[in-house]
Amino acid sequence: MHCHNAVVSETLTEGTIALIGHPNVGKSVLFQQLTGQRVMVSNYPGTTVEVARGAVRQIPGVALVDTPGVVTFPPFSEDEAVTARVLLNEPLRAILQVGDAKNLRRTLLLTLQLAEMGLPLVVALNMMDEAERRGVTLDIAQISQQFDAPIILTTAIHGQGVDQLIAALQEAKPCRFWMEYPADIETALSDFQNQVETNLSRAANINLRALGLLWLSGDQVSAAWLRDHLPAEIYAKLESLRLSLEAPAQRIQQARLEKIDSLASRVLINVGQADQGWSARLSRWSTHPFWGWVILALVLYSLYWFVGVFGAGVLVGMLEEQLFGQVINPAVTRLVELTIPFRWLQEFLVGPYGLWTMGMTYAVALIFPIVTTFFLAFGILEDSGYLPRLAALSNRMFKALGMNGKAVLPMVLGLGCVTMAMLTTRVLESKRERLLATLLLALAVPCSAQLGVVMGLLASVSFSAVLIWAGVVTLVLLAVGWLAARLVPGERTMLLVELPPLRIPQVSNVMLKTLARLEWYAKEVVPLFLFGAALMFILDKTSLLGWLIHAGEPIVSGWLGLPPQASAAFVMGFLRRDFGATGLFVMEAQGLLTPVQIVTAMVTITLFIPCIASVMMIGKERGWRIALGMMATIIPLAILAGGLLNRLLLAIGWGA
Amino acid sequence: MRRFGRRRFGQHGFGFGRRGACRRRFAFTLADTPAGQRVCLRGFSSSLPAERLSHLLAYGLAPGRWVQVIQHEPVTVVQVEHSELALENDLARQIEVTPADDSSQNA
Repeated sequence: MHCHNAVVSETLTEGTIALIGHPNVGKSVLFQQLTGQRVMVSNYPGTTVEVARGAVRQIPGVALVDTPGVVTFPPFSEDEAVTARVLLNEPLRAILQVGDAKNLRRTLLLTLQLAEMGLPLVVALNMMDEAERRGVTLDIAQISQQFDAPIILTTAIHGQGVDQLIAALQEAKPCRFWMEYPADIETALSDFQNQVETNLSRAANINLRALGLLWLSGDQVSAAWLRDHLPAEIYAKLESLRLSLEAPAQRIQQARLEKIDSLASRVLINVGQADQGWSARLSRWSTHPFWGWVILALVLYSLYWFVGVFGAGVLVGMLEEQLFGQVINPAVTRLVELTIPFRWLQEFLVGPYGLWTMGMTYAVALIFPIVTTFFLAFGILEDSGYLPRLAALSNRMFKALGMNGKAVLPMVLGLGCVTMAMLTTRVLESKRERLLATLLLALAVPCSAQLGVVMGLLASVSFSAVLIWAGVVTLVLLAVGWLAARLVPGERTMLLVELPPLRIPQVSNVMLKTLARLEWYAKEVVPLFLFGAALMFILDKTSLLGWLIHAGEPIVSGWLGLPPQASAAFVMGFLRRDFGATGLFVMEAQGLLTPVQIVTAMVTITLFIPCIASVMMIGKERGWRIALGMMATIIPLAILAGGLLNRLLLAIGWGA
Repeated sequence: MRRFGRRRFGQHGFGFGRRGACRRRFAFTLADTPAGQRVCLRGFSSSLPAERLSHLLAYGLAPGRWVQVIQHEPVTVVQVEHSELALENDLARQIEVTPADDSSQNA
């Protein structure tokens, strides 16, 4: 290989660029701008917990990886570790850091760490509109010179600065930034480089000095990487090298902080004024010890009204009773009876456990309106920036459950879909907290589909039925959470969460998110509902259903006090809790359940294990031993709680 | 004043009076700072877990820097640069500060 010219232009034409930055600075918005691909974007840290990939539209052959936000390196939470692994394992051509222009010191601290890695680096100082409104003025040229990296001002949400960013990415050169650390750390770094350079089984993606700094800072991700790519005796030498230093992590960070402080004092021409507008005032109220709860009550009531009353009541009524019950289903049944001569096939399609009459009708007429209204409402909540404030408000309660307020994020998300929420437990800092949150999600957080069915059913009994159900489920959640927090070893992490500015949600983003979630939901729900209906049909035809109903009788009728047919609903509940709840809904419509039986059944099915998809997710995220352990705890607990409630309600003569 | 003095501050290599940014007068934590006041951070309790310390520093809660306390209930909220951070009172109690007697002082 030889050079044709003295000046070689290494224009970026292939490879992968990693999009890296703090949580909630607009990485995913920029990802959408650059790739044209839809990804979830919200106004709270932790929306992205997995990497997303896409081709950069304007640079053919180049891919972009969107990563979860990282506060600093070394990473501490699982989602941050995902980002660290991208840096170490992906063959990256460049890093695109997205930073918040108004929080310069914090942004530059991460810039410094990324610049040290030696890869071509481009920094997008994003949310410039907010920074300008607050009067922040920066000396961009000097920052760029200091880090040997182009700095581009962007307002990603309006597409401003994206063209310049692409141009900068195409021309980006390896970053030559270098800073000096205390003498003993510098010696350890050159020792590290000497040991690692000749012994690595695979070339490192980032330069060895940066890898050494990560290693000396106690990073688990680079430790795992080094263990995989070094002979054991060299790795042991590195460990003793690290142990010989006094508090290396803290001293490395202190040196960086001093560097950034001195730089910031030169490049921050005007620090600007704090936001004094409606957003700041509303922000104060939303975390106020009294008004915060009033606002929460209003938010919950609006959610109940929109999803429970409008979605589950009005829309389901229109779709299920009028459209499906009176128009579509009779027509489909007639069509099937006319065109298909086999009786069993007719029943398979439009019988009591028919693919159409049960599977599709449940999925489209009952569940679809409920999840659509929930996803719309939830999208608005997410984009407003309210959710992190909920973490602050609810911190005390989660403290009692061995977690911190951040756990409210997966819990609230669980109301949308428990499976999705289990992924979000990655934002929690410790393994213990992720486990506790997963347990509570699996046990007592009903997803919107199930919640809608449960609410619809209980509302038809009385408001006190709703209160009893909510009270018992909350009580079980608190009791199990409290007990688990004491049984699972480990320390609780204290709450530290950023409260992003409250913003007016963008209609287009809420719509896009709702559509993306509905698409995801349809892919998961419709096949499972069809599979469930087919399974029920087979069980029914082979008389296995009768046998199951008979076998379940001591528990279902004897202990829970329900009619024997309710066994079928619990079998369906194994597939999805909302499928089971819908089965009970139909039984109630046929007049088979008394008020006490409805409340008992709803409590039991709510506490019952979540759908198959979320059991799979528990297995994938927390391991199969834990998934099985949770099932073995949750099913008996649900039945125990339901039976006790049944006896209590009968004893006090409720609903009689 | 809340219990104080038994814990050792200025550990983790983040000591007192760094670069003379703020001078120590008496032991005072972020949790003791009345809402509305601007204070200069001095150091951290030695019992603070490394991971929390690292995040606090990355968010800009570093010795020598100034923050404004916004509220304490239900959690402590502080303004750092142009962002608001919510931290548990127990965490705020592990951050030592020097109260500002002149609010025009700025880092």
